[in-house]
Amino acid sequence: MKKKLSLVLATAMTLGLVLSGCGGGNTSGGGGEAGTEPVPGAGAETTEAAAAGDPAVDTTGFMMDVLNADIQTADVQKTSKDYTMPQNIYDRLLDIEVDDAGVSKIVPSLAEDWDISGDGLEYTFHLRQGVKFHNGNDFTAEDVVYTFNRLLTVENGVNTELLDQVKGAAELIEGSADTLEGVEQIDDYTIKITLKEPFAAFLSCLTAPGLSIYDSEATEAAGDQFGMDPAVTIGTGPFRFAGWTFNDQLVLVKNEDYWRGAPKLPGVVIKIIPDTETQTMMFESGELDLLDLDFVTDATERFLETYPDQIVQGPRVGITYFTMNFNIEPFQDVKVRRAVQMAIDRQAILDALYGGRGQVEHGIYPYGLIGFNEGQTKISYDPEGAKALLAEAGYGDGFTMELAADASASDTVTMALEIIKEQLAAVGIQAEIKNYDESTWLETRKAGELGSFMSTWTADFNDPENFIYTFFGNEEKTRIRSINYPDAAVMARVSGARGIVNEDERLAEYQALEEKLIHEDAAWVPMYSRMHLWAVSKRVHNFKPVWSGVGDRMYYGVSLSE
Amino acid sequence: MLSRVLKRIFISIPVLIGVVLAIFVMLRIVPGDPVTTMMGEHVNPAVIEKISHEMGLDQPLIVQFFRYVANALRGDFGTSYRLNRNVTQIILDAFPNTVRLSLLAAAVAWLIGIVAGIVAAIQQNKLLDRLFMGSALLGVSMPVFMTALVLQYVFAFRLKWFPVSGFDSLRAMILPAIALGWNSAGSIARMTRSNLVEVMQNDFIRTARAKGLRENGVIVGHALKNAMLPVVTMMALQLSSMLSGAVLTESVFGVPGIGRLAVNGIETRDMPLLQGTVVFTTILIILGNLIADLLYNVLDPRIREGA
Repeated sequence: MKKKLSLVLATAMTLGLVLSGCGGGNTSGGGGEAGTEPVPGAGAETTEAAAAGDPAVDTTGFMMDVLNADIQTADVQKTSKDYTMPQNIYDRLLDIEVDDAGVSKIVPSLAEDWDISGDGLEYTFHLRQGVKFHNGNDFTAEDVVYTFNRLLTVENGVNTELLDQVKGAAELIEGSADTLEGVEQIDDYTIKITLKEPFAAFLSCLTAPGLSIYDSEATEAAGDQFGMDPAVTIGTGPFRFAGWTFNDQLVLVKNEDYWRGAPKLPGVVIKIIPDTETQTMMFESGELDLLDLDFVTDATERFLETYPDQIVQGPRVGITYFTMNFNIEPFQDVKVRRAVQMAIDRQAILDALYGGRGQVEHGIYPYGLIGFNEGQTKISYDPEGAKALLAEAGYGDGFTMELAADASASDTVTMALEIIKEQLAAVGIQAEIKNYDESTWLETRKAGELGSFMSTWTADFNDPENFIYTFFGNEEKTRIRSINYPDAAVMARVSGARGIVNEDERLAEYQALEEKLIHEDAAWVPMYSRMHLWAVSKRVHNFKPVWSGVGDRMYYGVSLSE
Repeated sequence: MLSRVLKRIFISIPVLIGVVLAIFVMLRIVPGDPVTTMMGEHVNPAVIEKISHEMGLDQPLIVQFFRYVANALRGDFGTSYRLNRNVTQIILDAFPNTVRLSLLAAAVAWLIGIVAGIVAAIQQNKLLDRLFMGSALLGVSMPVFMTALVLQYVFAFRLKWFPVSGFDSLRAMILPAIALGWNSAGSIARMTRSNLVEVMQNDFIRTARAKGLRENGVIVGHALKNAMLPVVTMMALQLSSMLSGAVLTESVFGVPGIGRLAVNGIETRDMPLLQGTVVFTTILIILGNLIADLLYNVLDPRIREGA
């Protein structure tokens, strides 16, 4: 009887909630499609194992990966955050290959070879023949022309800067031209790209995920569903985008006809799990094959001890830096900036937070990047020297400053700021940590008004240009980073260096600029570059972290043992 | 009865408008430009301006508000900034998962809560009573996410009885359901017990006993029915609180439900998404309360006659 009563009550409430669900659905979904069923049948069905997952694809035997937030889109012309899908479902004209010594070089991909004119303005690419898109269409020069035009004209587009050196790019963006003048189709398998001025990093640009090549026919037909609906998101890459259950999982299935040869993995499931504790437990229970230890930095030491044979690492070509806003008192004074450079013990922070895995940096171009200068001036940790400099600058009693923390950043960034605060206090600088939510942090930073902060810039493509130009390229660039570096002449040189055709001269100029900016002007505090660690399950073979840009996951070449 | 329902629905309208207005204004006075957040790093400032214009963000607030309400009344909650999808559709896709989770949690709460409450009442001040009421106190006191983490660690990670995350099989749903229902089970058990104990002091119970009914018959046939009335109301109301608990439970166990959407919306300043989830949840809570009210009506003849 007791049971019966509760059963009756439960049934009543179940019906109640289902009804309320339908009610809510009707109220809110009046304009939606009739085919969408808010609640499947009666309450009894809630116990059936029908819920999430992709019914179309059998994912048995797939490799299991995890992300801590779902992607926005797989259309890489509309995102500068989510490179995981683009890197695996599309190809670029060129690729970067990094050897074991960390030396990188540009290698052919969809472009088999290329010629560059003597003045550095014309690039002719001979395209690979016999490459097919996932829908069976042939890859031709027309697709390249289409893709590059779309990048500059698509609604809500980002990454347009990758092509801003191409002749006619600005005109196309502004609408004064209908097509991108500098990209011409010579024949079905040849294209010629003309730049408006020499730009030595252009080949590196072409390896960026943002310049992935789309199928002109399928992409045009897909409209705004491209990147959203897996079925119409077509590329030439090693994997096909096969499923996307929002906030639950992404599914990739191998492309049997991939031009480099079919991948060894049958497919990959990428779970979306926001909670890092959950991710750790999933890995340890065998529910995950890959775990990016950057998501769970506090568990890294334990992982290194528990799974010493299952850790894979590679340099993440990126620099962690600490800024000083030239518009905020007293950072106009180079002595104050240099004092801060000397007051921060970067090795101690690297040791405390990352077990020393990585290296202290002294400039702008991190270890592993073209242009990295082993021989540059070093910044040494010298609190006494810092105090002396502060006294010289008239701040013998110190001053107060703000450390701006982005609440969405990882815990280790906050911990680093805590340590920096203590180290600054030791030389008399009273730093206060102020927490911002992500949006406010970003907006304040873009307005050029943010206090000192610590962040990391990873390479979009392997060239010093991608670093120095981002922060010191011109007045706007340095403002939106809240650095507000004031020397226009130096920034003109940074901008001018992009056009130096002779590679040796170009790198020499970049290194001279680095010396000027960081050691003469003390424009920021270079912190460190880090190794990127992953835990892999015992059955995963040949997984190598790929450093380029935001996405590190290249599944091609990886295999699973039984 | 019908007029009562209509009256309740009518009263709910100002509540709903108030909630929409509050969330709308709140989201717009906090700093942070949604377009900047949405577009990320590599974006041309001209594009930001163009998009702000397209989304009507350069319009006066009052215009934005009425436009939003007008669209919402037609079932259109707008397009998510970050996800570039129709908000109504996103919510309806996530809703079944939240419903499953809440219903299972409710079942857990009611079953455990009522049974424990009855046993404790019968065994008043004996060992079982103390044990159950101790656990109930723990259940009431422990925050939902804490319960979720502990259950996950012990039963999924250590004992491996359940998967750590996911929501695609009944086995995977058990832990999230218990985590979410545990808290309510505690309050239901406590309330059932105290009501039952109180009812047992009444004259009609003495009469029933005097008739020679066995003790179990007295409890189930006479006492329980009277003791359950307030409990039923509470149970219905708790369905609402489960929706808020679901936000945390869903994040811990990786359930793709409405709670996750709200978190997504907050993190990325996705106003349409956040507004949509809040309004939708408000409607659910209002309906939940309405049902509680009606159930009370059905179960308690005194109210029925009074109305």
